[in-house]
Amino acid sequence: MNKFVMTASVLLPLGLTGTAFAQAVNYGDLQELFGEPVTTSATGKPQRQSEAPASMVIITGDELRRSGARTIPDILQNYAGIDVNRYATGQRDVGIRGANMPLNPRLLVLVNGRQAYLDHYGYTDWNLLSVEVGEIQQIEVVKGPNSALFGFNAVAGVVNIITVDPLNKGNSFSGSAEGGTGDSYALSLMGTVKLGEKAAVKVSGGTASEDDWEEIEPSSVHKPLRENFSAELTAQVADNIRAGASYTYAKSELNNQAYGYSLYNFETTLEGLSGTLAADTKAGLIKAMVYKNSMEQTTLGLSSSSSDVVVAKLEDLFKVGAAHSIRLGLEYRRDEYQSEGAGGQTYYDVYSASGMWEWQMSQQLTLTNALRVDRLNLGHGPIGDSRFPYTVDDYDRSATELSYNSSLGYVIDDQTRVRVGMARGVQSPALVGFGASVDVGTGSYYAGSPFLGASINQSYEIAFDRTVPALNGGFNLTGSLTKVSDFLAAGQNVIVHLPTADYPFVLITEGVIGDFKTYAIEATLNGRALDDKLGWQVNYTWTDVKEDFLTASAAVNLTLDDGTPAHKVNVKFDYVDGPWNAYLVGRYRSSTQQRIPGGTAYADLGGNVTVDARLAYAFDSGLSLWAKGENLTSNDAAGLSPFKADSRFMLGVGFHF
Amino acid sequence: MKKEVRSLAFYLAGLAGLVTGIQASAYAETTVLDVQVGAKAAAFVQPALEGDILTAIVFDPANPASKADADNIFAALGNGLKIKSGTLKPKLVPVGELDKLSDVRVVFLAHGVGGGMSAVAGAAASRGILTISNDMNCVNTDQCSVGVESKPKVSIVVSKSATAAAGLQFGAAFLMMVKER
Repeated sequence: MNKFVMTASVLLPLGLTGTAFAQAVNYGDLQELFGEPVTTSATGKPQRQSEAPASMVIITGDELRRSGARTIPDILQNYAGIDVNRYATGQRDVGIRGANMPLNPRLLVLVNGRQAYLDHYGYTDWNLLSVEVGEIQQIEVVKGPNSALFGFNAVAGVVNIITVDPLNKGNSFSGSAEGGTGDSYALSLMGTVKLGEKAAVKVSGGTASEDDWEEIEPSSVHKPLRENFSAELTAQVADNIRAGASYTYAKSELNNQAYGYSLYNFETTLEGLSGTLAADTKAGLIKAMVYKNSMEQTTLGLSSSSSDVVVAKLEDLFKVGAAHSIRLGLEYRRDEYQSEGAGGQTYYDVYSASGMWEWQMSQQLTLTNALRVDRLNLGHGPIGDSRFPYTVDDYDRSATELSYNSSLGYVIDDQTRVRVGMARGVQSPALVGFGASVDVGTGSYYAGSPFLGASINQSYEIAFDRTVPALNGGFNLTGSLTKVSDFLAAGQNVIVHLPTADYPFVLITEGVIGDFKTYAIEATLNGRALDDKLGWQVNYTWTDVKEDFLTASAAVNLTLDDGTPAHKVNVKFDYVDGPWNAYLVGRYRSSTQQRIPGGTAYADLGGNVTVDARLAYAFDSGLSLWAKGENLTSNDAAGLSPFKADSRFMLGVGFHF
Repeated sequence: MKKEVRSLAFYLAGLAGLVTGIQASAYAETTVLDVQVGAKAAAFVQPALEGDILTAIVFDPANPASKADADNIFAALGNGLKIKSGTLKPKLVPVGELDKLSDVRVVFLAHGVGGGMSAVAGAAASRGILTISNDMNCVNTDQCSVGVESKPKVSIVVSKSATAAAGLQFGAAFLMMVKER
């Protein structure tokens, strides 16, 4: 079979264009109008969170800042159905509904619709987002496959980070500085300036660093470090047309538990350029977006590589009559990867078409369907290394595949809603997996494999939502089943070929890991009390992962089942009273096993409780002071890492004008 | 017997619901939140309403409930309610004096206007006025452009025909999030 699987998504009920409307939708004004967060990440259509046909978590920028979370995963871990492992202090991996792992390839992460996910290896380094906490409007998390909207790799879920719109923000200047134990520090600045009434710029930058976990420090080459800068220009070029351009730069140095769960030192830079155009026309809301990401990475002692991604997309969202919303989209993607060896460049082009149809069948019943088709053409440049085992012709391959989402929502009454849905998501092999040229020493040579196919994620979900006026809050119960076939994770299921007379090297290629299933039940109860001063939430997640891997080595290498806590409970309190704000969160995780680097042993982590807290005071002048603590319970297992976590305490000062 | 009891229970429940509905209708009034939602919705008209936006509160002076509702709306708008691009400046206009709608850009229609609704719709269509009401019968009969409710959750209904008759347009993102009829 000369095709590998890849590509397409058909979404039945979910959307298409989500990414495109990132700043074409005035999130702040719409949220103020409807009294709840507004999202485009479920279908591409702007929707209230309570009406989105997908399991979603939306975290406002204000709550993120009050929480004291230093990174986005730090706050994501407080919500149902989300797994966060902090294998090292600079490395955070986020999984949805279990099966998390180092360099998790199954979660797509975007900033204003521009992907932060690194295609070359298939993972997200959260230090490379080029976003400061102070500039975040909201974080949108879609749980479950959504590649019918976002394309490849949105299989376990999607995190879409929306930043403030400088044109709505007006003139502002804010910043913060904090430092504390573990030699930790963080600096952040953000400013927005209006250029007349029709244009505005936003500039942000920051840096942060801290010691690694105590057990890692002796082998640490780098102290984990993040540096980033971004600049954005947006202009209302006509009453109905908005244009924007942005530049981002980020650098990350960290100790990373990576291939085969070994610990490596990564140095990575990521530069991004993007341009957007959004027009509110009689033909609908039309948006065009073009962006380029350029990545350079060095894995100390192993290899260096570079990668370029160029994406261009066009979409139109419109209504037909009063009951039908339609989104149509086209996308082109070019991905190029160059490893340090002379093996040459691996690349692919992807052509995609997508559509979403939401049908308001009655006041109670809504059907949403989304569909996407991707056509991937793989290729390879000239090969200059005799050890590279493939020919250019081996890369003359293509594949077409389909993704879909479908959801039926029923409003039982003003307070109660049920929803059932199913989805098919597609995970592409990473570029490294398709082909790299890496001399790994001792006569061994890594080459990947052009014969890999895509991994398919099939998901089924049922959800029940009810507002609870007595609590000034609500209740959600969601059950899901996800079947993952032909799972891929670059470097985690290498196939070793011993030298032969014709090929006198140890050749390392890539193979499929196998299948697994995840079953999950999520329950969330939230409310507000004390004259609306106190927001609180309790959530519980049960997750069960069943592995069916093809090889014993894969089963040893990956601990998707035993590495996932079966039971997770989060309790959080967010109290705001005048100038005072107190944020407290407690997390319980049942026992897990986490793979220890450098062997096949596992660390047994017992059930454990972690508590984080922050107390802040804001002066009228715009100045604020805070103190916060992470892992106040001194829980060794707080990171769900084989390395013991320690506690960190910080003092901070901030300002905003 | 059990079946009969159940039928009776359903009947009583239905009757209770009917009575509750009648009561709700009889005492319906526009709340401050309703007015705020309506005002925010007005900010999504394109091109944007700007500057001082003369806003008439139309009521039936012969109906005390209507006058009371108009007073509620007037109080909620105060000396002027700021929206994104301008400020809604209120004035009270009896339904029999619609000639006072010159220069008016927005009408808040009070409850209890009854048959005067069609006259308001006609005036709004001829003068390009945005009509907003918490009386959902107005939008549901295409005589108001926008119907708003803030409880139990914010609900906005837009009449395509009333909006088109007044020559008004809303932004696409806004229309994606409301119920159109």
